Amino acid sequence: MNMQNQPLYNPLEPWSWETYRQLEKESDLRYEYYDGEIVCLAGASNRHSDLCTNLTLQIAPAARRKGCKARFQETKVFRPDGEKYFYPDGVVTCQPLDLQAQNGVRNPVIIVEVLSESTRSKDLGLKLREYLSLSSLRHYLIVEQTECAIYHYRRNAEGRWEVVFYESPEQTIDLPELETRISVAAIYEGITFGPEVNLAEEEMAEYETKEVDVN
Amino acid sequence: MGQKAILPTTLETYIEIEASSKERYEYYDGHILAMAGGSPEYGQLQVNTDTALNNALRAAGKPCRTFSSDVKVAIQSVRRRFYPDLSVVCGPVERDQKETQAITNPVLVVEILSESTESLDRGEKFWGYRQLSSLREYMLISQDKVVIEIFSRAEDDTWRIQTLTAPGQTADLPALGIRLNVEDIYFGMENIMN
Repeated sequence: MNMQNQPLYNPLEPWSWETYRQLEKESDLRYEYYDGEIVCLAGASNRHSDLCTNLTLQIAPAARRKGCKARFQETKVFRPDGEKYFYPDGVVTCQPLDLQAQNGVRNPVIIVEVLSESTRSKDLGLKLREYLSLSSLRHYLIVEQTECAIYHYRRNAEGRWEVVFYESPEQTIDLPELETRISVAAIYEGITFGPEVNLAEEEMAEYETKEVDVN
Repeated sequence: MGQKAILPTTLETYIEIEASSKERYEYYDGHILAMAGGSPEYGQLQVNTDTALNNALRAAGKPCRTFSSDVKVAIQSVRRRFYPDLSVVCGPVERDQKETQAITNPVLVVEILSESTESLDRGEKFWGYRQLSSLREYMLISQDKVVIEIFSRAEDDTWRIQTLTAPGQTADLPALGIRLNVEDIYFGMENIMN
């Protein structure tokens, strides 16, 4: 997830699960919760969104063909056995209850995270461990934003986790549960790796004024 | 171990700095990064793991040697030079031609995770070590709770993962032909073992 890692509270005294549930109910913002820590999720860069769009385009049609659903950017995943909630960038579920439910996914088959500087530590560490311990999960895809590099954690035939690394656009990612293969090139289509271009406030203001002139 | 500021430097300058400085630096394709000290937990995990590795290797009669975090690993193909927390070489040690202090053929690299270095150890450093054809095992050890992760290279460059989270479990290092007990690695750290 692209988020600012800013705990809302000094974790000397952890947030209670009830407080978190209340916060999620009342607020329009999204928060993750792990054992007493609440982290607010901030907006994403355009490149992050573009990568999520590409991933959706590749994964969603295959998921639909198999009677599964791909949900990107908004869906909560939670551990049935613990007080932890996560918002991965993308999740695929094929489980009937999850397909009907309106409040999050309990049995994900695939989880996708697009890395950003502020979240890479959690995506590669704490969240990785949490995700891999979900018994339903078969694939965890971690996609770099600043270079062509994908970490593909997958369960092998014996149910053990293994990881493969893709660094070339010619490689393909096999997702047998969805009977599909995604090319690395398709995930990075239209993505440029240079430094992010951020419009300054003055430029934004100018842009807005011009739009008004046209009207 | 922790890490500090990153500065642009050529490899030649880096090697000169390393030869003359008391501080240690890592090299990342044109940039250097100073190494910081470690916590007591870090130090204990390092010594415990070192002991466990050496005991197991000797008991099994393996021609392998364990190196401390003072020994640097050079990865010429991607212009990186890292100080792993521990490394193991089996058979003759190969040294870097430009910098004979650095080794180039570890079979196992161990990194002890801290909050400031975890994403580096899982990301860029693992990527760098993977470029060494000698590397068969990569071991990550957490400081704040019992978590040992071992990545073992299989055919077709797939890495099998073992995750150990409790005393009584054993970590399998197939390329070295040895097993390590979780409680030996976390010896003396009962506060996090329970």
